[in-house]
Amino acid sequence: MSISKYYFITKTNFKNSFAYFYDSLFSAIFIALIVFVFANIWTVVFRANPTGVINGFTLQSMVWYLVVTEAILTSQGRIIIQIGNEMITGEIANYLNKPYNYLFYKYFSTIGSSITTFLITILVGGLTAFIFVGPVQINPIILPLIAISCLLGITLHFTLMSVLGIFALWIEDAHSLAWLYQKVVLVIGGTLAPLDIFPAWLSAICLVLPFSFITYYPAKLFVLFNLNEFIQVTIIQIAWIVGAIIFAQILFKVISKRVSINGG
Amino acid sequence: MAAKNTITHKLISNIKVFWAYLIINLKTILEYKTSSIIQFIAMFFNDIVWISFWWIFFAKFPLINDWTYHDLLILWSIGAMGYGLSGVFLGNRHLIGDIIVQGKLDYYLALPKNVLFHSLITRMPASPFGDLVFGIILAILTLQTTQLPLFLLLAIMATLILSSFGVIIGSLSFFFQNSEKMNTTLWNMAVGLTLYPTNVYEGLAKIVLFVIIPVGFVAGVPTEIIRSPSIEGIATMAFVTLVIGLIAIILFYTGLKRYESGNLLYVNS
Amino acid sequence: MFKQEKSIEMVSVTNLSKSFKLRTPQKGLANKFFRYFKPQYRELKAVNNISFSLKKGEIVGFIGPNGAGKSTTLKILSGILFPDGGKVTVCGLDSQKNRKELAYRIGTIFGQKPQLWFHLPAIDTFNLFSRIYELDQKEYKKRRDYLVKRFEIEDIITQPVRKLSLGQRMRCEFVLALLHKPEVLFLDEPTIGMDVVIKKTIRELIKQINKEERVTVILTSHDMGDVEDICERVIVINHGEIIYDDSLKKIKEKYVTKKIVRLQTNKPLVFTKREGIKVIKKTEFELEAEIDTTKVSFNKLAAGFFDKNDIEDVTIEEPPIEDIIEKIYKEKPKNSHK
Repeated sequence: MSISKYYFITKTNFKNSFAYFYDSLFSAIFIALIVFVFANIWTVVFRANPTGVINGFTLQSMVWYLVVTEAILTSQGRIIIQIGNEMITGEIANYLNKPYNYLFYKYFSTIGSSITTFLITILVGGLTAFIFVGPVQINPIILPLIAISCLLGITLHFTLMSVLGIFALWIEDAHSLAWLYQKVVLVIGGTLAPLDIFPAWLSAICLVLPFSFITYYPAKLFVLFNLNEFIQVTIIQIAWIVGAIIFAQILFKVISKRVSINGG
Repeated sequence: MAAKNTITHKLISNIKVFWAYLIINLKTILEYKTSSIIQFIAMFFNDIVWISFWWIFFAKFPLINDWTYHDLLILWSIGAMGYGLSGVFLGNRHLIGDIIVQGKLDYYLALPKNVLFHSLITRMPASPFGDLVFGIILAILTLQTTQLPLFLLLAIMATLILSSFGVIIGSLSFFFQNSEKMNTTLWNMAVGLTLYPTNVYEGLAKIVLFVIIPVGFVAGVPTEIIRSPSIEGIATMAFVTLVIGLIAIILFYTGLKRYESGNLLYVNS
Repeated sequence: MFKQEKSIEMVSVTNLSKSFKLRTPQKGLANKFFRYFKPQYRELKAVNNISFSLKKGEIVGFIGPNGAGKSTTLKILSGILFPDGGKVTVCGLDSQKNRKELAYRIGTIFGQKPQLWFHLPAIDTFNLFSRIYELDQKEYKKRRDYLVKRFEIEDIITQPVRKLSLGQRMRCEFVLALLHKPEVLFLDEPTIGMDVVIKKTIRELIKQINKEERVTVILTSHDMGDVEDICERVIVINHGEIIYDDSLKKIKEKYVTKKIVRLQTNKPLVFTKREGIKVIKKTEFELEAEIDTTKVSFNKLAAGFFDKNDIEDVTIEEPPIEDIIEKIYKEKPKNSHK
């Protein structure tokens, strides 16, 4: 459980992630396409609005918001399917004997490629946003803080996906579960459009669900930074992550008992 | 022997083969009922999530240019039908590249049927049924009964355009070294644009989406035609369907000739 | 009439050549990028001016090491690839120009690429193929029922193929391949992964079908047992050229130069040393020797032994066919036809 061991795993993953470069590039290009579409849609919407501001968002902030949410969302790739399949095929048994915690291992071995994918998507998506609506007005000072928010968002995304991956064992279909989860976060997590434009009753619900802490809050802080909000969000993100980890660990212990009863 | 070559005879035997594949494909789906049902539900759910999103969006912004939520629903019913019909009946439309890369063409080349037609109909996954049923239900709920025949006609053309795209993208594997990942991404890109409102583009974007890679014709243009039907609109759709279909067929068979002449991109002993 | 039918040429290959253009792999990112759009090629000559012909009803073994040009030749014969030079006629049709027509008349079995739909009963694939080959349904059903009985698969054709054993699956694959009464049958590794008993059954079935239906069979197999058991004639390909094209019997005559003999006698051995006989072991009642058949007539020698001795037991061993074939593979091509 030593820190240096995890650091080494992360570093190795970063090096390997260059092999995933093309994969990341392709998903980034796909995101750029979505940014392109919404840039056009938002342009039309804002044109009809005389003030040029909707719920505090300008056209630029709206489109750059999307860049950030999509970058966070797509950074995780195929975790649910990976974990789910390892559950189903019983490959998980190999990991139960290793001297490191399975989930921590998974996290540190994928965080490298996640960050790479995230950065590439920001780059490609940002370029697209820049071409079609121009730059977003933000104070560069906040960027390190936003990096923290995004990293926490990615981590929360990973943790929730891990929980679902473990559930995949019961329904024996990791793909569909991953699919459903992605769709839910797309809307409820405020990925496609910020929760601010949702009807009040709906946004009230979504704001307290963990999904909004994956994409909505980090992206919103990026385009509409507020220090108090940042501190609150960070605390709640950490709380959700810890809660999910505890839940995942419990689930995992249950599973490993079940696996060893079944003859491993 | 001579009788075998008449056009009617060929057509009838191809219809029989098509039907035979339908049956065997359906049997395969039924063989794995649970998995098929889950896939069906997942796709259906996906479509519902999307029109829910748009409901939220249009609740805040009732008009995008001159489109209302109702128009978006028309777009989605055509699009879902297009995905559904093509996925069910021409299930390999987005996997032609994979078939080439994995050397599976040899299987089709040793059999006495048109290679493209044969490879397209061999597969029928369960998920497109989700789109198909969703599209039908949405169309019935959204459109008036008098609009349904036009809807059906346009949905069939959308199916053909979508499938032609798949074939064109897949056929690139004959000429360039494509990875399977690249194939999937190209497909997702080309068709990912089809289910968004198409009346928001101007200038260069409009030219790209309606002329160069005419994704706008899959669901966007049919939506406009249903909003204000015209003979010119329908004729244009038919023309585009025909042209894209011909491009797909010509590109595929040109590539196939290259493959048979042994331009070994993919060594498969 | 009979004699004429016997000498119908089913496969005719004349001066066949085939080269492949292989992309030369590039080093360096810039090179990789540019070469993606304008690739560099090098030529690989897979088949170099080969000629042979097969008569109706022949069973031919097509053997050669991997990369020898075997599969390329077979792909050209079945219309999958075009020749660069030469002419290929199968069932009287140009394999390049009449691919589809030819496809009606040939059947294929790939040991490693089954054609039966895995998750469904074999009969479903049979029905599908009856449509692909445009068979008259009444005729098809008669033919199907006949073959099903012949291959003894009545009980298993309604079970999903994934539940069948390897031997059962292969028998179903055979029925599938024969449904449309092909004139030429390509068998590629048909007994791969099977145990000895099943191999024997399959080999018997091939021979019987060949006799009954006069199907011309082209077999490729790395199992020399298959070749020995089934094929009258063997074509050895290596480096894109035909190294040997004749009967298996003649191969042995030509390449088998040694036999190992073990004798056991009831009375003390009477044995005179001679050139061509190398003694491995000799006791009062036992003899083990290696006979060089190029130097001494084995028959005469054996007659002599039996004359002079009261033989209790005798075994005669030849080097395995694999060793012989390996020897042939190592030979330089001579560009020889029959």
